[in-house]
Amino acid sequence: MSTAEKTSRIDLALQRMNAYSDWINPIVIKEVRQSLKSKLFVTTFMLSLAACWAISVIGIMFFWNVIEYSPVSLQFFICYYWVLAFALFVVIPFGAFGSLQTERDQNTFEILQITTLQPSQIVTGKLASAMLQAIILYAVIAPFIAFSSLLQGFDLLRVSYEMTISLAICMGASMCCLMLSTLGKQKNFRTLMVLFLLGGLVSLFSSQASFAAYVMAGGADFDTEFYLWNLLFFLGGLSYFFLFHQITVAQLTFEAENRSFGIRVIATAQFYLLWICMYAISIMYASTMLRYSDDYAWSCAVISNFHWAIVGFFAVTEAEPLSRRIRRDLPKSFWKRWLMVSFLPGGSRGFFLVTKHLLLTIPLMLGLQYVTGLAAGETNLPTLSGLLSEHKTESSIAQIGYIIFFLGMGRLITAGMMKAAPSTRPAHGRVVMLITTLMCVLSPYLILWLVGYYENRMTLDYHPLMVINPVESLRYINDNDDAMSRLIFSFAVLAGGIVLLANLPGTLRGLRQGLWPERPDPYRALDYSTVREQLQRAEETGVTAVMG
Amino acid sequence: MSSTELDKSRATSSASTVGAPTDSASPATAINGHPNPGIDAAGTTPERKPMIEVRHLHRFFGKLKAVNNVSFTAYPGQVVGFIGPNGSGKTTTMRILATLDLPTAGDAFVNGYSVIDDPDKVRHAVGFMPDAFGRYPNMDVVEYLDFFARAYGLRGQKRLDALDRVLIFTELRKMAHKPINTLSKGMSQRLGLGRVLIHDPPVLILDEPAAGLDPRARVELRELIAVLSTELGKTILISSHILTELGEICDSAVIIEAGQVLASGTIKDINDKHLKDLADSKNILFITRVLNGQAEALATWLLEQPFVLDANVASELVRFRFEGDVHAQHDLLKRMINSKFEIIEFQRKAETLEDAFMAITKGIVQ
Ligand SMILES: Nc1ncnc2c1ncn2[C@@H]1O[C@H](COP(=O)(O)OP(=O)(O)OP(=O)(O)O)[C@@H](O)[C@H]1O
Ligand SMILES: [Mg+2]
Repeated sequence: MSTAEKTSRIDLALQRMNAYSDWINPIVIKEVRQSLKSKLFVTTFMLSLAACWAISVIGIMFFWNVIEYSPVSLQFFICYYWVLAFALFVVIPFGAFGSLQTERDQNTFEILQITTLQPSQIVTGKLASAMLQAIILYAVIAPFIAFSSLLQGFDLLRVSYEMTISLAICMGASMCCLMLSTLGKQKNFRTLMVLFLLGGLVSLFSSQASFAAYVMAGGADFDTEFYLWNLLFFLGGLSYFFLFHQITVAQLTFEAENRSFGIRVIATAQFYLLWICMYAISIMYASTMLRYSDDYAWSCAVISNFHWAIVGFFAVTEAEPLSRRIRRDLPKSFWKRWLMVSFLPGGSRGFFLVTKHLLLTIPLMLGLQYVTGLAAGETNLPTLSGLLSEHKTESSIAQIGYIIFFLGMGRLITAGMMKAAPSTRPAHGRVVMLITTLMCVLSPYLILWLVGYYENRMTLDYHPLMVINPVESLRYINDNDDAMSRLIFSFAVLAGGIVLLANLPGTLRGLRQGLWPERPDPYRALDYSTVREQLQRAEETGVTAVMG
Repeated sequence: MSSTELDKSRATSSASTVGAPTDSASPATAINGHPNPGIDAAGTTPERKPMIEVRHLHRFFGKLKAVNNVSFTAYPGQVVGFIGPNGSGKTTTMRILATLDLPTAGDAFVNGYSVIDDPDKVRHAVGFMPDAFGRYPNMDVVEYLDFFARAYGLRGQKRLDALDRVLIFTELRKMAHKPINTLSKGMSQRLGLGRVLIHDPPVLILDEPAAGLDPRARVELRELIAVLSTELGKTILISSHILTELGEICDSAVIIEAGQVLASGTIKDINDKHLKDLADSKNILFITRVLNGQAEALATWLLEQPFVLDANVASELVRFRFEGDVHAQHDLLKRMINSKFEIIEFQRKAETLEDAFMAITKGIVQ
């Protein structure tokens, strides 16, 4: 075939494709075109095919004598699955990682950024390409699985289950990789991340491979509980999928744009999802498995507190000013702004969001205990004061107190740093916050060791100085119910309360910024006095890219 | 006029003249009475709406003032050269115009939209070609252009038309299926230009498009740009150090150094003004040619004459600086002719655009 002929055929094919491809994400089209010419993709494709052929031939030879009456389908499927799993959990996610990273390395990203393509489209496009590759691999494997279904002992339910969750996990892993590819620009950090990522993917592969073997060998009962757990995992996974998607999009968005909103909304949705699931489970299972006195509600509180501690770690350190673009795009209606305000970027609004939900955790937790008792049909239902004086409740509240204390301190310190040295980045605030927390954890040990407290003791009992160490204190209050635990509780509540008050002015200022924004005059006549003001502000704040 | 004076005059004169640009179709009333803030002396009618308007633009990186009060205006169909030595802030300004960066103070408007407030609208109006742009692997010319057409939201026949238009204009049709990472520098600059043109923006911002091109490719690029500006009415901001090039490509220029505009106007204006400055100045460079072997002696003789600052010898040429007025010049010449030296040539050093540039910029390194 001559090249001219080939070209014209490609042209023709392109023209046909053109008619249908308009509404497909441009990134997907680009990636498909590239991967059709890429050696890596073709190699993976061919190798998987070859591996499956080899498995079939060797397997048939090996089982030749027993193939007609022995349930060998299982062995065949597992071998095919391993080939698929390697591609799904290692090759495709790692490819996604590389694809977004090279996009950013090659100077191509900037010209992409100023097209009308949105960052979310770029991320979704990359994900969809990964998905498409996975589907192509499924198509490669399908005939072999069909072959294994002809053999004895084929279990359609388990095979479908494995194939479905594998696709979901592949998507999750790819999303995770895409997110990681946008974090950090330093070369050493990246090298480290690649190693870390490869290690993670390989261990994901091996754990999935053995889980599949376990499931295929009849290891799990496909009963209601099994499906319920799967549903919970799916919902949890999905929420993190969306969270990671938002984080990735935020990383690809210009700084002056609203980068926190999506992340904060999803993190809040996760919080409510958790409690809704917990209430649902408690109502369903209360009569058979749960009683109100169980630790159930308390463990939910631990998870949700941990969630907010992490969200808060990132949220409270953000830079305070709302950029001109954000202020301009705020809704006209006050009530809409009121709904939005805690999701807007900025440390004070982050602190408001986190504190609000940490405090909300207390009634949610008490309510869950009550509902569990109610659903279990228990006769002597707890009163509010009864619930409050419950030791586990105290312990939860102490936890919340500590989290508010450290986050509030972090916000105050970061805001102070940003004021003093305007070049401070949120990351600096986070490091300082980590160090502060670490110092609170370690310094009591150091002081007690220096004064010789540990010298003639066999066991390390709790010393009142430890109240500033949240780890020891929370452990103690969890295990004991005595005067000392009362002291820890009081300290945590007091410390949290004081920090809350200390943050109040800043938080109110932050809320005011979002509720009654100074709207930029978009087409103001730009006279030199405005410019002088801007320059003066830049000099004072050191922020050299105009935000306001 | 020093650059600060320039700024002050602009600061006062251009106050509240931008008015409220709304969309490209709006009448140009907002511009009426717009005093000359820069380079619209290029025979353009001031009633026309400016396509690029940079106003008191500042961009600092910490202590470094990469762009320090830059203002200029460009009207439809104009090709504006953005000239400055390395590190003078050209790329920084252009990135702000392309919405890739934000200013510290001031604002810039493209097609009437602020780069700070309306980046999306600016992006529709601007095609930006950075000095170095990445090339995707495993992709050919058509696929590359097609991808960007899609990325700009062109659909169906519109997209195919855009592809055709660009392939024909850049003459890349015969290379349509060539992998882009095998293209020569000249061809890949054409591809870059094609990409910039794919969504047919009225404003093009080209960062050193001629860098690294051979003379032929440069001439071709110049022709493409001429067509774009004269026939298609595009406003083009083009940065370069290659000054001799700019005289032919651009109708006006902004000369920038260390983040500040040193001169702006039509190329001819800049040149004339420079020559006039030179004529007024009292420190002129002359070149004299004498017959073989007399150069050294002439140099020594010259140094003994009044108003001569220095004299250098290069084979049969003698260059010397002279700070006297025209009468002193005349005297010197008369004495030189009457002396024993066999003078063949006597001229003032020729002033090219290059010289104007060298004279205007001071070689400030930040
Ligand atoms: N992101 C940045 N951070 C810090 N400094 C920067 C940054 N970008 C540019 N600069 C500095 O700003 C100054 C102006 O740079 P710019 O790239 O705009 O110059 P240029 O006129 O384009 O130079 P060239 O002719 O070399 O391309 C330089 O001193 C440069 O080092
Ligand atoms: Mg540059």
